[in-house]
Amino acid sequence: MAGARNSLDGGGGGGGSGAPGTPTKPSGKVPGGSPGLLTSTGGLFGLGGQLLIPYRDLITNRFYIALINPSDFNSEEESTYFFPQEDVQPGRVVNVHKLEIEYRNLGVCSFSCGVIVYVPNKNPQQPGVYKTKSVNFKIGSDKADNLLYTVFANLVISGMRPQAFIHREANAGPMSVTRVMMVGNADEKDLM
Amino acid sequence: MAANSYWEKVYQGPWKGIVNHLPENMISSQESPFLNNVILKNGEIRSNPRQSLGIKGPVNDNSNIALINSFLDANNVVHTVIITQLGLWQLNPNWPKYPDKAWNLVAPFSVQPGSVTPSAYQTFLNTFYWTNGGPNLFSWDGITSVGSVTTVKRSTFYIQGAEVTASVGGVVYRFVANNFGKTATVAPVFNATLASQTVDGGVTFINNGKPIVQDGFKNVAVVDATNGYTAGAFFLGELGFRLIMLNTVESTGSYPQRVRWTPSGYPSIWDPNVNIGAGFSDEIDVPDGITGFLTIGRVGFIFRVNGITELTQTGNGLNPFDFNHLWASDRGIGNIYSYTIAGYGPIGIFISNDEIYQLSLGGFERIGATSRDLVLNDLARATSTPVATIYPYYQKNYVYTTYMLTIPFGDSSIVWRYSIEDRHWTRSIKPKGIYTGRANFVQIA
Repeated sequence: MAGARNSLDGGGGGGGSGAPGTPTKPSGKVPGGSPGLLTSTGGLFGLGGQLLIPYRDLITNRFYIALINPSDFNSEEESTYFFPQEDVQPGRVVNVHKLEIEYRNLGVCSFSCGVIVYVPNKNPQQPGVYKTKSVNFKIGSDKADNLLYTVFANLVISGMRPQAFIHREANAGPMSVTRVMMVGNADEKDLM
Repeated sequence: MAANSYWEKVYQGPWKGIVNHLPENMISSQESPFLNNVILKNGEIRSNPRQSLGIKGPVNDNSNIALINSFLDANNVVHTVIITQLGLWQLNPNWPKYPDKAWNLVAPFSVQPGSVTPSAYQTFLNTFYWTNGGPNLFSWDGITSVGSVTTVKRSTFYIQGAEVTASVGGVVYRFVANNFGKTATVAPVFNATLASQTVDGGVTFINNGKPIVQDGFKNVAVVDATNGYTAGAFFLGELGFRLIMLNTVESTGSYPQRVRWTPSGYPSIWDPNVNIGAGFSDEIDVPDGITGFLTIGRVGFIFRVNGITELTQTGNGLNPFDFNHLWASDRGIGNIYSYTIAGYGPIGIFISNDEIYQLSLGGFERIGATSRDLVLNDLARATSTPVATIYPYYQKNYVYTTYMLTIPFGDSSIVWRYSIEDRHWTRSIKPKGIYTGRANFVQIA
């Protein structure tokens, strides 16, 4: 436990008495100890911080310190957002014929936007089914200008409780949706 | 509504996250019945920030990484360290160039393999302390090498808290430096009496009892210096310039209701017979064990399964803490998942049987709210230990104070994030991967 210790040659690994797995020290500059009396064992300047998290990757079955990079929203996993089901008129079939999607251009991104509706059974005592229609978009540009853009999806689907959603596959680019509008017509016909 | 009447529905932020307090056709337009892997900052539905594998773990030590942390040593040098089952590693500054040699082993645990329990840690007096449910509290100051305590050397500088051994009449004793200084050229006669002082040049050493058996790290917490008994714990904290261990595991057994503390400013001394400022208290008047610890301002909060005990400072050096059970009932608000407590400045978050709470200077606040059942349902299905942290920002130009709760589920992880700013919950699934420790904002260069 005495004073001056390992040379500052790239991260000491002091003590340890020949522990298994001690890696070879690479050369390189590390910060020096300021007082000059007791020098630090390795270390960093403290100039760059990141959000890190201990992680076990079960694909490679190895342990990592995973890095979360907030300057890149091209997530490696799929992203999904469901909006509420809409009782445009409770108990009535309505149709949806257009979606408006407002987004911020963070770069090229592919995603789909669609609507799910509940289609009642012709036999009112039997449950109906859910049906989906969606439209694929490829939006944005290589130059991420961070401006708002608007695209439209023309689709026609009829049923009860229409529910809009957006879905982006893994690694499909950075998605940033700021507003979605669902447009359609309501039917006055009584189901019962 | 007239036949074939036109209708439109607009969805725009601020978003309120995922909810299940009402059926999906009865929630507001800003709420979502289901979402995955999005971040709802600034009224946008964004795909989450990308997670990369970042820094490889030690190549020759493919074992569980229990924590990552950075600390500043007494030379103003930053050390980024991880704890694996093998031992303590620190990040090599040249890791981008040598990714396979990113980590240098500081020292291994004396008993292999080490624990996989998420480690509790605390930086105190420029020294990194950690403990992980075993009978040891470990430390590294980033300056001296770790390893067995060595014999005191002549004309050598020692920092405050440094530990050495010295022989008195053929019997070896353990001494703790009481201040920073340089030892004399000629050895003094060391005092063999427990807690006595010996002046050696510019250093005053305190007798800390018999040497304890060790070979890996410094065993800091010698709670019975006469017999060489040590202690570790499941939880570690600091209050009133004292290091505090809670739910201790000692050489003589486990004490889930015990709180131990050091004298003010002396984190190497834990035996009250060495310094009367050290001490311990057993919370045996409550029915449950300690499951976590948080400090907010000048107050500590000791969490139990069914209760919370407030720890306030008395200002009395001999009896430094007052223990006040906020409630001591059989059933009550407490913390039920030990490693899901997280704190950030004046904010703490913990999970009770009935709700998720945010604790602040203003009191307790329910934050599970409309998402509570979903979070608690995932926690109930956890296949390993859930862990949580609060981080104020993703990076310094992307501030978003978030409580991040990771729940292992089979070969995947469920990640819940609570935006403390926007007060909503989002959920992500990370397939084929398990988070093994708390996220932390650390230095990498």
